[in-house]
Amino acid sequence: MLIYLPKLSEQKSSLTSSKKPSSFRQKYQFWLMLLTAFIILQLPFISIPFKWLESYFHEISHGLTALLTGGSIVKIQLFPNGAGLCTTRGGSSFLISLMGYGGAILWGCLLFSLASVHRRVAQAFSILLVALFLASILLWVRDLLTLFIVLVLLGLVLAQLKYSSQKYLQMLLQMTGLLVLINSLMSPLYLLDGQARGDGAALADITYIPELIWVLLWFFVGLFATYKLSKVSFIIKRKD
Amino acid sequence: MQVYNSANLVSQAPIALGNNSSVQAQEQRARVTARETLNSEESQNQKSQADVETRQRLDIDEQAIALIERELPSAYGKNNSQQSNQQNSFNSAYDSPSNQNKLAVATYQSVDNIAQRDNIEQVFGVDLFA
Repeated sequence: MLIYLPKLSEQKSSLTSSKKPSSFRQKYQFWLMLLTAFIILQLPFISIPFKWLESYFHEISHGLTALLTGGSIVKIQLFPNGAGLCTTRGGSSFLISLMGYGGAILWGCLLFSLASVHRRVAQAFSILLVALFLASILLWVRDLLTLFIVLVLLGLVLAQLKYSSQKYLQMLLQMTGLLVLINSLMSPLYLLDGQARGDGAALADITYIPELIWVLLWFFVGLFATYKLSKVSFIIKRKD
Repeated sequence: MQVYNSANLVSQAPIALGNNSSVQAQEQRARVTARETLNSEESQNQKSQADVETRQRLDIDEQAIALIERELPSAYGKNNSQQSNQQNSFNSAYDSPSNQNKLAVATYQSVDNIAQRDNIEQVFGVDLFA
């Protein structure tokens, strides 16, 4: 029986060669993924489901905040242009208004960071998302258009679960998280249209703090979250 | 007309047998009346021919008018449509408001939307978050 043992020099060289590209990958993978996500969002048809996903997370954040603050969700509506509407009863108006854009940023961060932790965690989080979509359809969707949009999103997550190996599932979920994050980073800027409507205007009515301040707050929170994710992803990669 | 004349002649014949001078005079009268009738017939014929001719002329004119009418509306219609298109484009170009005006209208409508939203919120006791 012959056992091939590599020489010490060979071992050293193989170690150094495997370390160098991995460290480069670890350093720049997040920014490359962010760039890819940004490019995907510029594509005409491919970007549409991801805009719907951000819109869904935005509205479900309003709704979940209403539930957490003692209110209830009456219905959730989604529109093909990426707009949405959450009808609630009761709860804290301030927190519900604040958590639309804030919640979408949180969902983006959660998607990316949980997908980065472990493959099993990514899988479990995908199943949790499927459950959330199903609950939304059963409890809060009242019209066919919203039903169609949520079914498309459900199909997207199910396809990610079924047709990708666990390694790619992790990467796909990370990418989805970044897409949601970029969308939620940019979407508050649409409120700067000179028309007093939307969550910024609602918060301005409640607090007498101008809409612009709220928009800037959401934008910079989104930027800060992106920066933090880049650091977290680098640490997780190094641990692997 | 001819039948009528012959009847006259037949009715006047017994009188002519009794007196030659009167017969001659009657013959002359008859000739005169016959000529008059012939003349009148000819003039009537001429009139009827003239009428027919005039009718034919009118027919021709009607055809020509029909042809003109057929041709003119298309040409006129084309011109009209072109003119109307031009006018429409001109009007639409004229009517398209500036961005500033669009923003003003949208702002005005958004005020109405806010009022509608407030009404819905008050009636149903719900909050709307976009």
